[in-house]
Amino acid sequence: MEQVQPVPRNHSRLVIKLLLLVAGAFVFAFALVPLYNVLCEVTGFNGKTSAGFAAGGLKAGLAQAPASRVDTGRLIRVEFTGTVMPGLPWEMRPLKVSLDVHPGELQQISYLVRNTADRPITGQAVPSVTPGQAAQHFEKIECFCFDQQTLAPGEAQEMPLAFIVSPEVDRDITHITLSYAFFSIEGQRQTLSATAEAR
Amino acid sequence: MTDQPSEFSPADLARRRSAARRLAWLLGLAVVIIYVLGLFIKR
Amino acid sequence: MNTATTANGHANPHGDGHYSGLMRWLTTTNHKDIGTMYLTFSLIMFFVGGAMILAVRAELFAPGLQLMQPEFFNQLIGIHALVMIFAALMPAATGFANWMIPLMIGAPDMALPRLNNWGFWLLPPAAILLTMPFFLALFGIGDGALATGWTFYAPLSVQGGMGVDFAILAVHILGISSIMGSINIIVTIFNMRAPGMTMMKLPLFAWGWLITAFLLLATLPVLAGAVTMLLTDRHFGTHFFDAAGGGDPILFQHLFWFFGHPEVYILLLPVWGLMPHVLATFSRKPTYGYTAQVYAFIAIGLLSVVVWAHHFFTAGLPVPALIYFMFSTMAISIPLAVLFFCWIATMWKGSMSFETPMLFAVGFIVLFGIAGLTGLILADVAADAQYHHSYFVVAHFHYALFAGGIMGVMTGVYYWLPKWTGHMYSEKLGKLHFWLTVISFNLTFMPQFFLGLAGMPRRIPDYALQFAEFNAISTVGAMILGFSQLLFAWNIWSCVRGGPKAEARVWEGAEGLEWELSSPPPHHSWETQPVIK
Ligand SMILES: [Cu+2]
Repeated sequence: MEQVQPVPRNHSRLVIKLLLLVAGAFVFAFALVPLYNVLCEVTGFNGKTSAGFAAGGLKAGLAQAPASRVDTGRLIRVEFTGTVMPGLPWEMRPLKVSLDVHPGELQQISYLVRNTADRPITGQAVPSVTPGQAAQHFEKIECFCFDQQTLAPGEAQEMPLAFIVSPEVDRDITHITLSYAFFSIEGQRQTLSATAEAR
Repeated sequence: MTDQPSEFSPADLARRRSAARRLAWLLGLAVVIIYVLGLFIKR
Repeated sequence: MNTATTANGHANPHGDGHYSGLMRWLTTTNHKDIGTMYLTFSLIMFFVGGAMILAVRAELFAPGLQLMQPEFFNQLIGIHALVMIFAALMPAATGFANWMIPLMIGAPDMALPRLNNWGFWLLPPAAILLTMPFFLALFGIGDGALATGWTFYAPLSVQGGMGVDFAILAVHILGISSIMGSINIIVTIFNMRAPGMTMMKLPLFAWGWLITAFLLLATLPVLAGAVTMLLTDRHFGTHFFDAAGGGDPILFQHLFWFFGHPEVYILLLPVWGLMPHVLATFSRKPTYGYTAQVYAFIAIGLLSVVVWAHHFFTAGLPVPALIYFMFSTMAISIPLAVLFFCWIATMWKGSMSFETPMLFAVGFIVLFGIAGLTGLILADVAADAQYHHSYFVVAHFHYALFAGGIMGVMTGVYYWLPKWTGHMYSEKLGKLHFWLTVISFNLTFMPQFFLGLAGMPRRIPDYALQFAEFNAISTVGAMILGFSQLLFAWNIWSCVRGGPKAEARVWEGAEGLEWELSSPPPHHSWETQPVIK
């Protein structure tokens, strides 16, 4: 077999390109975090609810919900549930387990939340809507989850929620479940809980 | 291809060739039979 | 283990001649030495991971808790998986690459020999980090190893004990090692091929590894990023995966499986690359469909990074996403079927003989076929709702990764061992090892399909009474499977020590540059490169 001396080659250019690929993939992992949140908000993947009316508050929401938008032709049952996460000595329950609503109709209910500890505690509720396809059509106009809530020792509060199920919601959807997880935010930095408020 | 004497004689290799081919047809036939039987199995 | 270098009559039995003993192995930059170290490490960790799972199977022999507490059970299953994937299968493939790619493409060594040495020596510390919490717990430090399963799912992993931190750091180190190995392999293949060896004349083993290396570079950093986020969530007050702070635990699953699915092909592509060599050798025919196989490798590589969410169909994905991930996953079966047809067509009308590597190769095709077909069932969104997180999944991925991965590696070991050591292994022991392995493997995992269909969930130390019989069978199979691997180790050990002399072309049907060199090859090979016509 014919044989020749190997040609010495400089590998550094290729190595640098490959290292750039690695660095790009690492950055991509972190870029996925905001991308994922944007995707979830736009599409309602994962039960992230619409923040459409949150900015304008109740009045703006009502202005956008004229009576003509109400679809009286069908009823959707909205079920309410809530969980207090470990580390928060609270109790919570919805005052009504479910409501039958016409799409487009403004509805209000409240959760009863009680602090069972003997010290004031601040918590943050994080909502989730099932099924995911309904999430983007579930518009919360006013919600205790927009803000952190502080309860005095032993205090019980009725925390209100106003919402509209948009008439654009798919006709296949007959039931929607709204679930809250209440977290303790003691010892957590303000900036981070601010991101929770944003949704 | 061979700088090393084969432990198999040419006749041996030819015999293996036809044996392998026979086995392949047999397995193929088994697959077809199982497939056809599947058409008749009702759940 | 230095017979490979002493037997060839090299002027200095200790290779580069700088050091001897342990220092020689610590400092070696020779691709054959490093390949040997990778393979030895892999074999040791194969037994470590195997011992863990035998303890698990012993616990599962009967319903109820007999041998261990659930916490310890959880630690064993997670570390078993991490050890087998990162410390046994991946190093075995890298060991093959180190040993064989320079020989196959006519290169004098790997392109970046020092990086190569460093890449290997990161592995033992990582393996120690992974398993150390077990021993620390014995002395009352910490509460044992990672107990989340190998997938680290948040929020469980955010809340877990210090075993999670150990595993995160081990994954970082293992990842760096794999990235260095991959860069080395890509540069070697791109820059060091013998003159005249075009990319479409590259041996398929090198092609398979090339795709694996690119997949590693593209996806391992994503895993590194995900576990880094986990680490900062645990200790530095971030909330990537903590819903209380606005994070999302499902995000972790996306990040993890963005790496996790390609990882399956990372483990399998080197084996798929090796198979045509073995099948062609023992069928005494050229490989069928070289070009088709190259394109199938590339297609699988590309598809593998866009199908990840099939691992959590039940996490509440929207229907359009479910449909997309279902169809893209099923699409992978097309290039994979191309590979299967090429393997079978290579054997078709061949003069086949069934030496141990060929037995393992044929066993691989049959059993890996079962893995592929059951994978199609799991890819079906509607079916997956029932089978998700059941023993059906466990059986499926062991058909893929034991029968596909580990039996593939065994194929390679038996095929190349005479080349590496210069001695023939015992064919009788090899065949016994094959039959024991293939029978006990099916005895272990076939019942698990039925357990899964009947509804037994995975990752539990105890189970309902109706699952008792199949679990007992599975445990018996696992014990035979585990202990028959001692034959494998013994066969390798005695082959390294001595045995009938192997020719340069060990198998008379073998083709390729690696068979032009003596067995074992000289410590420095292809210092003048062969010219390919
Ligand atoms: Cu997958």
